[in-house]
Amino acid sequence: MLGLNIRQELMGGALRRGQTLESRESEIIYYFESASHDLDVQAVAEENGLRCNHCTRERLERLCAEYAKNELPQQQLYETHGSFAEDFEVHDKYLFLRKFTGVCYYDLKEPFEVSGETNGQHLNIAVDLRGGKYVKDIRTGRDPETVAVILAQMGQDMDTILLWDMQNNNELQIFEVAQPYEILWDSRGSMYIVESDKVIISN
Amino acid sequence: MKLTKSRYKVYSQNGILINVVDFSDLTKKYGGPVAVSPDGLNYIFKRSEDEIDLRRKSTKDVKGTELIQDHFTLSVMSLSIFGVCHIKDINVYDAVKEYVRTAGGERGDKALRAFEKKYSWLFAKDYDTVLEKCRLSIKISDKLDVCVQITSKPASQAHVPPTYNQLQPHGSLDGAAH
Repeated sequence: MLGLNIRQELMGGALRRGQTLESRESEIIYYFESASHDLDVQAVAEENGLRCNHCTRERLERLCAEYAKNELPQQQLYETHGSFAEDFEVHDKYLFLRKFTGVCYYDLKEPFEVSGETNGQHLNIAVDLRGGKYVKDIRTGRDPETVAVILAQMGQDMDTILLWDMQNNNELQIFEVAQPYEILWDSRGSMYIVESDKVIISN
Repeated sequence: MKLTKSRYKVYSQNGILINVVDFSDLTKKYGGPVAVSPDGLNYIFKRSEDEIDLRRKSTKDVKGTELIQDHFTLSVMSLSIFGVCHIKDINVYDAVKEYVRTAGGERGDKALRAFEKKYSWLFAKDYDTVLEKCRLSIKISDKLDVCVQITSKPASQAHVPPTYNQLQPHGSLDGAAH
């Protein structure tokens, strides 16, 4: 019963008369379009001997449009339903769908099943919704093998940030941080948590 | 990068200013940035609801379907020291329809009709209805992969302001000084 109340709170507060929690659920469509091969703008410019000045952009744009025209994008569609407040994240390797109770992810190399979760896998995170704990957010950086999962406790200012190892599906590091904070990533995919008086650097 | 001024500066590793890139012409043409890849080099530009509204007010006889097309058009951009480069446009509305039709094979048209019926909130002819009933959320990866989440707004939430948690997916340092 407590779990239901927390879910209700996360989905927009008290129910009105005659309203059910299901009626608050949304239909969700995910449309995914991948580029069939990488387009590196910098490489295109260097390949065509473009120098850095204001007139090169139009030429570069034409060259990139030529490259983009030749590729056949891979498209996928995924239909599901859930809370309006639940969201998603995408990086080079996986698509993550965040629900309050956990995180489901899809390998982007595999086609999704339309109207199904057959290809989906779950992060092995134990979330006790009855105890007021829920998945608040997910963040990704440049490293496709790590993802940050933010767990929150209802009514508390402390969040738990799990740096997750995608290869082994377990946590690499755990951080307890007080709000407010920001999560930053560097170009190599290392995570930094900036709190009001300190910065936590992950390995 | 200064998003409000649509401008960014390119420095060498020694700290010498190489180039100042102004992409305000692109934001006028394609709208402002709404998504960025983790490496900060790829962007999705999209016209805002205000810009589409302005077009509706300033252009006579503009059709609702044209405004819907505007709303669902995403421009994939890539940033380099040479400037912001427009790579391609994705019309999500048409792409979804085309996907369903193609996936349906010989019975593609029938499959599309069933899909349109199932998701009537998305395929409404009126722009205001589409705006009221669905929400777009967009993400882009380092490899220019684009993922779009199209969510129906439940009737109970159409006019309800979002909760604090929905507004603030994580604590913000902006308020720390106060």
